[in-house]
Parts: sequence; C-alpha cells; structure tokens
Amino acid sequence: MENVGGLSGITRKRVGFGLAIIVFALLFPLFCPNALAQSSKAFGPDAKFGVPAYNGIVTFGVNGNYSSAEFEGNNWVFTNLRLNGSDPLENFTISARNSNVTVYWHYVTTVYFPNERLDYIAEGKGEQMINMDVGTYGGSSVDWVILTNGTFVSNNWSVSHNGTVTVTGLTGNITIIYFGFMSQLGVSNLPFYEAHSVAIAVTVAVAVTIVVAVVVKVEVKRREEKELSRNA
Amino acid sequence: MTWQTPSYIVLPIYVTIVAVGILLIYKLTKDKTKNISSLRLFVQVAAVFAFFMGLILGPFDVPLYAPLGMAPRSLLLGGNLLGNQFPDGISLPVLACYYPNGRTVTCPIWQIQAYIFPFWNYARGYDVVYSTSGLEKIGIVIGLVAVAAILLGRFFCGWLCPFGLYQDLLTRVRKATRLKHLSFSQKTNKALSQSRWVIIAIFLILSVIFASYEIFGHQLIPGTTPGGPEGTEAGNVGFLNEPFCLVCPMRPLCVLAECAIGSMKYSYVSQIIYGPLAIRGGYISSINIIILIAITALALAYRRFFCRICPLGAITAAFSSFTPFKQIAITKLEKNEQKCTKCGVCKRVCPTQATDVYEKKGGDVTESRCILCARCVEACPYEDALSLKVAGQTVMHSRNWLEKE
Repeated sequence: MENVGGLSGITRKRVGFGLAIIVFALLFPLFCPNALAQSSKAFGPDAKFGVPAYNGIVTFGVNGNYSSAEFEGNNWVFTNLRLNGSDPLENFTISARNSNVTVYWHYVTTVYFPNERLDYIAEGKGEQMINMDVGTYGGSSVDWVILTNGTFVSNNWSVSHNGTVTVTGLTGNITIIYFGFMSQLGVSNLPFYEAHSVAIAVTVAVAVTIVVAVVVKVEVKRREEKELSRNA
Repeated sequence: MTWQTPSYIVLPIYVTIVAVGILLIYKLTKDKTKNISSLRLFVQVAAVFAFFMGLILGPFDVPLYAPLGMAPRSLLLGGNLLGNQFPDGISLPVLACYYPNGRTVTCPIWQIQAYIFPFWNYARGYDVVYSTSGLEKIGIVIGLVAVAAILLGRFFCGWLCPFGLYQDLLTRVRKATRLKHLSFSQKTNKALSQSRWVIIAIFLILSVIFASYEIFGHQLIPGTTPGGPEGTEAGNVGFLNEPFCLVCPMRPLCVLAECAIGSMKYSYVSQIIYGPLAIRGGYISSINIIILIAITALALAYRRFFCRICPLGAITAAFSSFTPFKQIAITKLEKNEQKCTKCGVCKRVCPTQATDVYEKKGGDVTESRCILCARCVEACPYEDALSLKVAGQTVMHSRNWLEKE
C-alpha cells in the first residue's frame, strides 16, 4: 500500500474504521432519544399501577414522570415523582386495597407554617395507604388533617410511626395534609437571643413597666406632699 | 421560609378611625351623664374588632383552615412575632377566646392551662408555639398579663373585654324592656368575688391531673392521655387539659358567632361533638351551651354577673389591686373625701356592686371587684369627687351635672 500522509494503507484503514465508530457513537443517540431517558419515565392518566393482592389500582389524574417506580411488598414506591402542575415528591409510597385511587395534586407551602398536601379521588370503600416521606416527625397524629370533599374527618384514618397514613372507608375527593408542627420544634439552630426573643422582650417589658410604675408613684407622692405643704 | 408580614396599612387606618370616633363621641354627646358610657361602648366595639381582626378582614384560602372556615389568625402580627414562628396571639387579660380563628389576642387562661407543663412542648392546640419550652411560654403569658395589669388594671374588664361587651349589651336589652336589675346581698357578692380564686385553683389543678401522663408518664385518671387524631376519642381527651375552656361561656359564644357569620364551618364544629348527651366537644358541647345560656340569663338579671366570678379578672386583680402591685398600679379610681357627700349614687350604679368607692374615706378606692368602667365617675354629681387617674393624671372626673351648663 502506498503511504499517504505518513500512514500506511493498513493503518489508514484502521484509523478510518475507528473514526467511523466514534462518529457513529456520537450520532447514534440522535436517532434513539429514548435511550437517554432512563432517569425519567413519563406517564399519563391511562397508566395503571395495580396492587393485585389487595384488589387495588393506583392511577394519576394528570401527566407526569418519575425516576423509578418499584413494586415492593404490595406498595408502589416512586422516586422523584412529578405530577404536572404539582410540587415534586421525592419519595412516595402508595397502595390501595379494594379501591381505585387517582392522585392528582401535590402541594407544598411554607406560608404560615410548613404544610404538605396530597389530593386524590378514591373509588370503592376500601383503604388507601400513603406515605409522603415527610420526615422523622411524620408519625405524630397531631400533625395530620384529613378532609373528604372539603370536610374534616375525625375518624376513618390513622398514621403509623413511619408516617404512613391509612384512610379507610372513604370515597370521593380526599385530601391529606401534613403540618410539620413537630419538626418545627426540633433542634433550633437559632442563636439564643433569637430563639428566646419573645421571652427576652417580655422580661424587659416587665422590668421597664415596674420601673416606670415606681417612678410614677414616687413622683405623684412627691407632688401630693408638695401640695399639702403648700396648703398648710 | 416566608411569613405573612404585619399589615402596615390596616393598623394606621384602624387607629385613626378609633381616635376620631373617641373624639367625636366625647365632644358631641350632649348628656354628660352618658358620655363616658357611650365612649365605653365605642371602645368595646373597637376592641372586639381589633382582637378578632383576622376574622373580620381575612385573608382566606390557607390550607390549614380549610376544615375550620376562612380567616387565618395573626393577621396583625403576621406569621411570626420577634422572629419566632406561630405566635398564638398576644396574651391580654380579656376573654378573647383561643378557639375562634382570626384573633390577634389570646385568652391567658387557655394559655396558662396549655403551657402549665414544662415538658409539654408540642402544639396541642395549633399555633401554640413560641419555639420554647412550656415554662418559658408560661413566663411570657404571665409577664404580659402582669404588664397589662400594672398599666391598666381591670380597665381591660370594663372597657375592652368582648364578654364584658356581651354582658353590657344584655344590660341595655334589659333596660330597653324597662325591667329592673337584681342585686346580690353584700355577703353573697363577697362570696362570689372570693369564689374566683377557688375557680382558678380548681381548674389549674384539674389541668395538671388530666395531663398527668405528660408529667408523670401515667394517667391519674384513665382515658386522659392527650394526643390522637383531632376529634377522635383519644384526641378529644386531650382537650381535658384545658378544663376551664370546657365550661367557659365565651367559647361557644365566639364559635357560634363565627359560624353565624359564615367564617367558620359548622360542619367541622359539629363533627367533634360526641359522648352521651353531647357533653364533650372540641368547640361546643351541651355543657358549655347550657352554661352560656345560664350566664346570659344571669347577666340579664344581675349586671356583669360573670365579671364577679371571672378567674381572668381575678388574675388581673392580683397584679393590680393587691399588695405589692396595688402600690405601683398606674390606673386608679380616686376619691376626694372633701367633696363626697355620701349620697350613695356610686354604689348604686356600680355594675359589680363594688363598695370601696362608697365606704372608703378617700384616696385610692380601686378594689379587685372594680372593673374601672367609670360608671360611678359618670354618675357622681359632685365635681371632682371621683376621678379616674392614669399615672397621677386625671383622664375622667365626675362633674356637677345637676347644674345646667
């Protein structure tokens, strides 16, 4: 083979072949875009997440996506679940027994105090077991409010120590709200004067009030004595 | 974290309206035997507006309050107080009930019962957090009440308390029907006055007993462990930790008024009423409704009946009418002995039948039963015989209304 550019013919072929592979590898994803989407899987309202052993089905009322959806111990465990128009759920576990559940909204706010809300529709008087992974304090029942069709529900639900809310026997629009009071009472990172600002302010107010009151008393007494001595 | 900021527009407008109203009433009321009463009625109404401003003004659409109604609390204070989240309203010695929404001021009796346990850190009632331990919270409440009492004494009872306004309106209703009021004998009235301390003691002791689980780790009375979902048996038992609130007539009055104007959902309120004969409830129950009806009937017959037995009035009096606080109390009722003719008008018009104003010779005649309503000052026909003084300065004094001006 004749030399071209310092390379023999066989070398040129190998180099060319190698370049072709590189180009192909770079261009290939352009023809197979789904191959890049292994970290996020989309779904729509038609997607069904069944729980055969419990005779339950979980669906989502809107389009969305998730990083992973695993079926473990009759629960669907989602990571990075995102419903269109809602706030994302990092870790979300849900199951349904003798009911169909359609989750359609998740909302997180810190206005007034942190609260997290999930809305779904339940068909069939069964059970829904939901865990929004709210954190260490999620097992306290004082932190949860359940509404059905906008009305407060006192019975028909419970919360386990790991924060799984079980709603029983309710149908229609159901809202689960977590308020996070307990987490607000966790270890405070505020400096002393900020953490105890109200107590400090009140202590100062009491001290000032007493001092002012004593000064007023002394002043009034002095004025009265002066008037008495003038009249005498 | 974002918090609602205090309303810097609402406050100045409110203060301006109140100041102009006070000035107009004072200047325009022709009957000098009524101008203090007219002023007092205006101030009472203005106070109710201020104490429940979040109820009246909104805003709404906060997820927490979806089951309760519409108005959030803390409108004036915003979502924090001095950097601490969830203020539970300022503790002032008035029956601004904790239970309705939209309040800016909170009844200290509720707070004392709720905070009495140093270990009870978590929010048994929502928003009950100054991010501090129970002891500190109780210190805050008592400190605020002490400041208020030293500054104004039972002026709060006479001029600012919403339940006082309710009773005064009942008195006006009775007067409109031309029915005469009833009076207790001095012995009975004194006994009623002393019963306030017994009432406080009973309810504070009950608070400790019912929440013994929190303190000792076991229940002194079975079934009193607080906690559990709101409204359930276990959850509602927690309300026994505030036993006075179970019988206080102000709670059902506030809750029903709020339901009537549509800012609280009766469906929510009625869902947490249960037990035989509906004797227990998170907000209203057969017990507190019956008590409200009874107090209403008694207040129609006896002027300011509840003020004679009010434990909050007793706490206020403790910081203003008894030594050593009596020596430094800034607001006082004073009598000029030389100008008093012992006509007895002051004793007759006093709604709580306080007698020191008549019996004491002169000087400071404020007593623990006196609610500083200034009816005696208004009714006394002798110039400067009686005066209401703040820091030694006369703010109201009796006038010779017998002579034409």
